[in-house]
Amino acid sequence: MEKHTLALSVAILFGLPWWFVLAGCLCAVLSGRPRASRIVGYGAGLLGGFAAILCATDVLRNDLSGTVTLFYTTPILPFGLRVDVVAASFALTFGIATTIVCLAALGFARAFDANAGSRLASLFSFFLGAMLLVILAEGVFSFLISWELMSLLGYFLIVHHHERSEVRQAGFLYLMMAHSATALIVAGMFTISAHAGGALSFASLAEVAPAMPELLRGLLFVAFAIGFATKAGLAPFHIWMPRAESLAPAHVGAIMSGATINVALYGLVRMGFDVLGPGPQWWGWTLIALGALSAVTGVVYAVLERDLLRLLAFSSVENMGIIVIGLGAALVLRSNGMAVAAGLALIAALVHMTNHAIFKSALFLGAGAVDQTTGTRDIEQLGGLARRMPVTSACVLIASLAAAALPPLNGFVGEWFLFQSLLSVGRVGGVGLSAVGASAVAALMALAGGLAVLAFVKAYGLSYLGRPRTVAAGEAVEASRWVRLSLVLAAVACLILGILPGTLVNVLRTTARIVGTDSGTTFAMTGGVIALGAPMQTGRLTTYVPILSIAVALILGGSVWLIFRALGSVPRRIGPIWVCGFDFEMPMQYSSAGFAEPVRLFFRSILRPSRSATSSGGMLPYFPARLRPRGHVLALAEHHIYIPLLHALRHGARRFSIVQNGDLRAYLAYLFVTLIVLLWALR
Amino acid sequence: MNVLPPGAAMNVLLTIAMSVALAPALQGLIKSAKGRLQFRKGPPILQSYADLWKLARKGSVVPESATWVFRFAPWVVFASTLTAAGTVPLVWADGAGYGDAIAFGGLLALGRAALALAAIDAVSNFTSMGASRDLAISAFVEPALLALLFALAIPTGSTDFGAIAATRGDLGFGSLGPASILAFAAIIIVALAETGRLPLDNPDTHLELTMVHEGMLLEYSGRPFALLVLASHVKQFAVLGLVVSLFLPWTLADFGIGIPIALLLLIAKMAVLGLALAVIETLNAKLRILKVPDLLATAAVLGGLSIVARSAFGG
Repeated sequence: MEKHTLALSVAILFGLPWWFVLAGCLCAVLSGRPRASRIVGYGAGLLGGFAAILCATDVLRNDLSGTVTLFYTTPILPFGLRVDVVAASFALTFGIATTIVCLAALGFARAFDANAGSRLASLFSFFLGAMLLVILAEGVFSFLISWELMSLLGYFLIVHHHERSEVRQAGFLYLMMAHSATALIVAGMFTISAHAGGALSFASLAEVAPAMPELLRGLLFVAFAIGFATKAGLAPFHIWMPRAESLAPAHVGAIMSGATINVALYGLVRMGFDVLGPGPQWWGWTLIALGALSAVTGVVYAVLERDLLRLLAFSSVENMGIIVIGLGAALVLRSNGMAVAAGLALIAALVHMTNHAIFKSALFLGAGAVDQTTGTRDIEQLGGLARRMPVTSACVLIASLAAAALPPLNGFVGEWFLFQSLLSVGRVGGVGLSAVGASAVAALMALAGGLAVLAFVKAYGLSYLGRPRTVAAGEAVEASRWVRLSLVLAAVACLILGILPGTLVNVLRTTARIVGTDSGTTFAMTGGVIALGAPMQTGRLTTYVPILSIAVALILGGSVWLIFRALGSVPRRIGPIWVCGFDFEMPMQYSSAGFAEPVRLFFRSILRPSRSATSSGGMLPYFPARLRPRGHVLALAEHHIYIPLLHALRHGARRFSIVQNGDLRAYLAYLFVTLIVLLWALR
Repeated sequence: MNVLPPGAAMNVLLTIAMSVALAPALQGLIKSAKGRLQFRKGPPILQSYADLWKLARKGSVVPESATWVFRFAPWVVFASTLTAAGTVPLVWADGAGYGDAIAFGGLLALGRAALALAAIDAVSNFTSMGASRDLAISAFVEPALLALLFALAIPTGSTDFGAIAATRGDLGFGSLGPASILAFAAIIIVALAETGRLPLDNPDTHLELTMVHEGMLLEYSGRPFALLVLASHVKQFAVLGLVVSLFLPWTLADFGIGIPIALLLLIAKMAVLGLALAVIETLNAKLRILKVPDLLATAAVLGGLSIVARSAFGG
């Protein structure tokens, strides 16, 4: 323990990972009693998550920090923890997602009571602890240990339904991608550590890293960017995410989308922003390009997807892209010495990350509840759930509108800020190349936003509205009490943080320091008001005041309502819809594929859609009784990157297999040559 | 901290009231001019008011399967569209105080999403088809809008419509350089798309398979329908109002001409633009839906070229 005293909230944060670990151990002990371990595991998670929110907020508001060395694994390898505003901002998001997910899991995980529920609860708790340890890690050693723990525990959670082969495949793919990412991160961290004379704490790395050769720093930045982007699920490194998050239990998918991928962003911010120090402009532009690619790819696949959970995972790819655009904008602005704008861009990214964690974990839980009661998450087999699940439906509607980045919900706030940040990027160095770049990125972000509206209108509308498409959907029952409570909590948070955007911004504004400053007079916020000073028009502010626009909307609606009342009441009757004079039949209801068809066609030159149909029954081939049409689109990343890569690897391996000729004498020769070389090299 | 310009709330409500009062007339003008151009007698200019008055006193029919979403959606569409209209500088360049261009786009998108959800809720395949097409087309309108907005906002440094208009107005006729002309071409395409007019959508047809925006309204009747119709008139007025105030900003009251003259100028500008729309609609056929993204991509590229032109020539 260090000499100085720690603030209470910092001390609690340091204790929290162990709280989760303890809960995990208890769950393991209670393995014969799934109900008890469910209550202990998720109950402890709920309390821990809530404590994380309170403590992280306190740290952020009062700009606290602290370092502690917990133990020495060997005399030279300390396992230490540290809290500063950056770690606290990610701990805040972690706490929010954990609270929402664990509250729901208290009821949601009942379905797993008969299916290794204790193991799930135990691993879940350990997983929470590992994530928080990554955020609180003080140096390379503690970071990598926790990071690896997080990756492995994540794997075990993903393969919970390991009896299904596609789950095992998804888990394996996740493990592959996670470890390729870790390899890059390890290489990057130890390279800096070697320059720091073997020092391992981030603070000492940050002292030497800015003075390293420019080329090496650039390479390190790229290594960190790819490594953490893979774990954050950014395109084209996202291929594991839709598979893993949709095949894991839904509350695991929720915590992964709400917290784990943010932990990867934490790594990017800690290493790329804090440790490496200020860099050239292209670092930022690299992130912006990566983010824009992710945002558009993710949302296009979300639109086309018919599996609710996969759709949500693709939407996470999109949102991670949007957040990374903000991070990139912060770097570009920092490189150009625009400190206030850089700080604002970082805050924008963090605000969107926090808001995303809220609505996305709620959406995952809602989809999981639908899956539990109907046995399917296929949009084509749902419909009409709003009547059967009124509370879930209303909350999921709010979260969906937030995910579609519509005002006055919280998803819009982050996007509004990010557009403002891109505007600042556009003004870098007069009106020139960066203006064109920033506008192009803004246009791509707007495209992603428009498609997100389509994706979430489709996901919500076709599953919850209209008529049930299957018997199971028609017999759905409302989600359990805990799930409803959690969804209501998340929906209220979406509303409050959307209507009073300044609250979250004010909590997070101390983090601006690591790329710029938050003390500029050009931006100011109170709870309900966000106002940015326009550099050229000093008298005019760019404002977003949702509470005022809601007041205006209410005045307008109210006055029309009064006019209608004054005109007297008119009859409203229920009648059939217009189907060209025919009777309505269920197949007339629109399908998910039909709803996404315009987008599929608009992107036809990239996605290369194709169709096939299998006919069966009746008199084949001309009069089939049943026709099953199937549509396919190209999986771009797999088709253009991973499959060729795999082929190249196989080809290379075959070339290399000459060495493996099976002749004992050859192997002895290899040993001998290696020995000679080593002796010569180490002489 | 007081960030709102004094009197902003009053200005906003006045702007909205003006939009509501004048929007049906603009629609009537376009329809009647189109009639004349097509050698038939169009409806009288004031017909739209009569239609709204008639609808407001009629009962409505609700589809059997509809939930509260269907009944609630027209109110959301109405309120969000009118609130968006409040951010448009029509007579004076003061910003709305509660939102900028991004909020304008967001509010319109909220109305669109609400209407699309209601369209799905009605279970009709015509309404759902309209919703699917409308959302897909809008997804391509947004990038064009943003590219063009950035072309105007980057020199100003603000996304507030009022601030953009004021900055451009200070330039006087200097604001009519090559960059502005390119941006103007882009905004016309965007305006055609946003208001659901030919060649992107046909506002007149009632052939279910060809309509986009009108398709979504198919199951509405009576008062809810009146709200939706008025909202789409106001949206058209606001979008066209944006075109005139961003490209002829010195006709706003802030530039020393006084409010009455600015108001008269507004009516004149909108009438000219409305007539131009009627001509465009008469001369063009509806595009195949697959070609729509090409047209909108053209608009986005024009917006981008405008930025390039500005760095090359200024203006």
